[in-house]
Amino acid sequence: METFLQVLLSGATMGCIYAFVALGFTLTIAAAGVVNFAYSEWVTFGSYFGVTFAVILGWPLWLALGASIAGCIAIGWLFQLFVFTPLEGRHFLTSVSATIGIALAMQALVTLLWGPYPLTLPTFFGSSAVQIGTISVFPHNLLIIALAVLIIGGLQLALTRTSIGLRLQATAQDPMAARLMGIPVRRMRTLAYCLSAGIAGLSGFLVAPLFVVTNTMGFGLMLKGFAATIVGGWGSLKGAVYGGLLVGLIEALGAAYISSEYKELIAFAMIIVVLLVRPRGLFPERIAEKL
Amino acid sequence: MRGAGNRYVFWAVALAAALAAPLALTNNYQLGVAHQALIFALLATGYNLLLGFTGLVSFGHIALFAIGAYASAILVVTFGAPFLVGVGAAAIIAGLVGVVIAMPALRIKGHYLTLLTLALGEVIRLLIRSMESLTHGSQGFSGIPRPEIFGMSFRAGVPLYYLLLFALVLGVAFVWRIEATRYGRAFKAVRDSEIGAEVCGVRTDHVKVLAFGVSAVFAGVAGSLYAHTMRFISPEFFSLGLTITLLAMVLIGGRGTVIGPIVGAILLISLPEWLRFVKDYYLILFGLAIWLCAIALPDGLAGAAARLLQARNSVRGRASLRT
Amino acid sequence: MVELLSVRDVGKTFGGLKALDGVSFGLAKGEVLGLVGPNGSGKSTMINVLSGVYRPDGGDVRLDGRSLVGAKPSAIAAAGLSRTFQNLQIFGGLSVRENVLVGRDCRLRSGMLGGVFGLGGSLREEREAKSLAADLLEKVGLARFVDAPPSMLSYGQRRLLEVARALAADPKVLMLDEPCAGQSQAEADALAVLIRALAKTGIAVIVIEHNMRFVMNLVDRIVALNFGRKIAEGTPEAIRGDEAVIEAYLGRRGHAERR
Repeated sequence: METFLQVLLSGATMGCIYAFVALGFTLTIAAAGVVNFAYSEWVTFGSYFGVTFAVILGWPLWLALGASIAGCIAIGWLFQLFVFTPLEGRHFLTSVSATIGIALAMQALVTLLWGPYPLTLPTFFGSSAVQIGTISVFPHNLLIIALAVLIIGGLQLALTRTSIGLRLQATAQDPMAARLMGIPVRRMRTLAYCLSAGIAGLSGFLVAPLFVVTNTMGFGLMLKGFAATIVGGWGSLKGAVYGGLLVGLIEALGAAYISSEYKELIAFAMIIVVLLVRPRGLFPERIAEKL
Repeated sequence: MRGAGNRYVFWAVALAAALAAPLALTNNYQLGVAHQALIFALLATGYNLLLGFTGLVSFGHIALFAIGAYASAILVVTFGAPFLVGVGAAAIIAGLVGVVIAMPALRIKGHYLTLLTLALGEVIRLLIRSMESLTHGSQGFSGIPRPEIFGMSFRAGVPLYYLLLFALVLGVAFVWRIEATRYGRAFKAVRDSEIGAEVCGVRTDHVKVLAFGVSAVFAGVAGSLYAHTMRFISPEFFSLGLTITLLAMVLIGGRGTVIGPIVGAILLISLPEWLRFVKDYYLILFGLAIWLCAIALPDGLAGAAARLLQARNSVRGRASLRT
Repeated sequence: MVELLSVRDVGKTFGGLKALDGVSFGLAKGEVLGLVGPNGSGKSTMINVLSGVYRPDGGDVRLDGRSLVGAKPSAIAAAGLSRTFQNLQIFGGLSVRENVLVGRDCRLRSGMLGGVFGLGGSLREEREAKSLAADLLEKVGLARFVDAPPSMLSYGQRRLLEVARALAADPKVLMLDEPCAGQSQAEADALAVLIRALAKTGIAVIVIEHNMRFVMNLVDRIVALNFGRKIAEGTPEAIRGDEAVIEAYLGRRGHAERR
């Protein structure tokens, strides 16, 4: 029972990280139809920003977290100018190759800026575990879960209850109609890109203490993020969150009770199984094709 | 008809240049780069049938390449089969796996298909790595001999170059011919409007399975040639990074054209050699180049060239319509 | 009357909404039938059911006595039912001629290797298909565009290209979904002449069209739909005086015209 709870907790922690990554990745798809394969590098940069501000410059962690998020938002803003805006309305493959190209360049840039060796980022609460009942818990894991609940819940409220959220949704569903209704589509998209980038900065900062920081860490997370978006349903924010949690939990359970050797297989196997059963994921968007 | 004439001249010149190339490739290293360019041109030509002609975005194609490489290596090294048997088996096995991958692809569309094939490809790669008794696992498979056909050895660089060129010419001729048949039209019709094609009487399921199967055969042959050229293969080589390179070859060269994947493959294989002087900045420049190509040349180099020619011809065409 | 196409009690529901509700009608060889009704009355759904894009929830569709329900669209096309689209489905990457040749595909028999190696049978078949495509393009007035990309065609011409493509399959029944949209009056008149000529060769034609003048002058018989039900059927003259149709469709239009 103890191990089960332990496994569940670590699965939920990673699930929250995957949910963040999937959510940030899905935001640009939902808001502007842009598939951002460089999202992995945004997350990587979030981690490296964290290391730079917290370790190299020695800033307090909260400040470093804020600065990392701000740094990623700056990257998101640059992407809007040079990558996304030229890609809006283009073929899926054009988005894919442009963002993959940028991702390669960013990955190489990381090595150039921060060197080839793995770096580490400390947590807010030190590295020792706390006993809660019979299981030992790392406070950092709890922080991740708490932040996920707060931020995803807040985002849900903001999207459905505030006028700016509703305008964002309208832009996502039908940019043309939104524009005709006087919604500033351009600015709404900027908002979505910045939100997506901010989430990348946050997840990069939060995930870094769990592992070491390397230039390929974002890529590994992104694969799980893909799995989450597919399991949940392409372009669906709700699906991204549930998909992320599901991938995290199943991965942890599989590693604990089946074999940790095939841990990396689990996410892929989930993609395959879910798609074979439900070709549009668990929470499919409704798409009507008019002939 | 003048356009068609020009095309023959172009291909003749290209073939002559390819035949004469070993004269200019003076050392073994350069020849090795040329070998790789030819193999990847063949692989990309087959991938283009799927991606460019039929519009099916598979991210699992490299797994078929790997299957071809391993099938051939295992047959020739472990079981002592002749090279031709290895290539043939590689083509058949990869083709069959391609058809199996196509089955779920009939129900699963768009982005879902892309990520499904990515997952299938990774699973295949991990399976190859875990079947250590056959594939030697993550330490890789070494000691694969250079091709030998009916006692004729292709061990040396130049004969091997011509063997690979021969395979590429066969592959390109096949695609070039098929483009003009009902199958070539059906591929493109499925790409441009799947529902339109189906309603017009094209059996789109059949066409998709065919596209997957044929491009998988190309991948199998290219994989076998790769194994026998490099003489060493490992699961790490056939990773997602290589999928991305392959995708970039077809997109930068120009998807849906015969020449595009060849140009893309040659460019992306030789680019590292040309950019050697920038050293550490190479990957950054490479990535930025892909981004720039995607934004500026959405139809790739061949697409941009075709548009230039078309603009010229349509001026002429409009003039002739008026008469 | 010997029915070529018989539609019996066809129903189709989308998420609780009855798009088609027990619709029946028949069609004879060489007959031109107008399918009319206000927007959302189920005309396009009917075409999609007949061509196999949607599977009906109930009822039966028979062509020459053979049921088409559950068959794939490609099999239905091969059986002799061709259509055009309201939202055009032109193959932009193929030339105008190749677009028509795709419509011929279900009549072609040559295999892949035969085509690649240029074997005699497939060469002959290809030659015949090409000359047929040229004839059809001539018929719809697009002969000078054979080698052009479809992007060179006007919207109205693209509709004609779809007609030629549908004819390439040697259909017994041709279904035209709003063939006049985007066409000038002269083009519409030419299309009407073409449709009558096709009917004379024995092809049965179903036309969905908003241009009432076009329909009334062209068709032999009209089936009027409203909210997925058949509300009237008869000659154009009879439909013109039908209360239910005027109420549902012509009435509003007549009202609009009076203004």
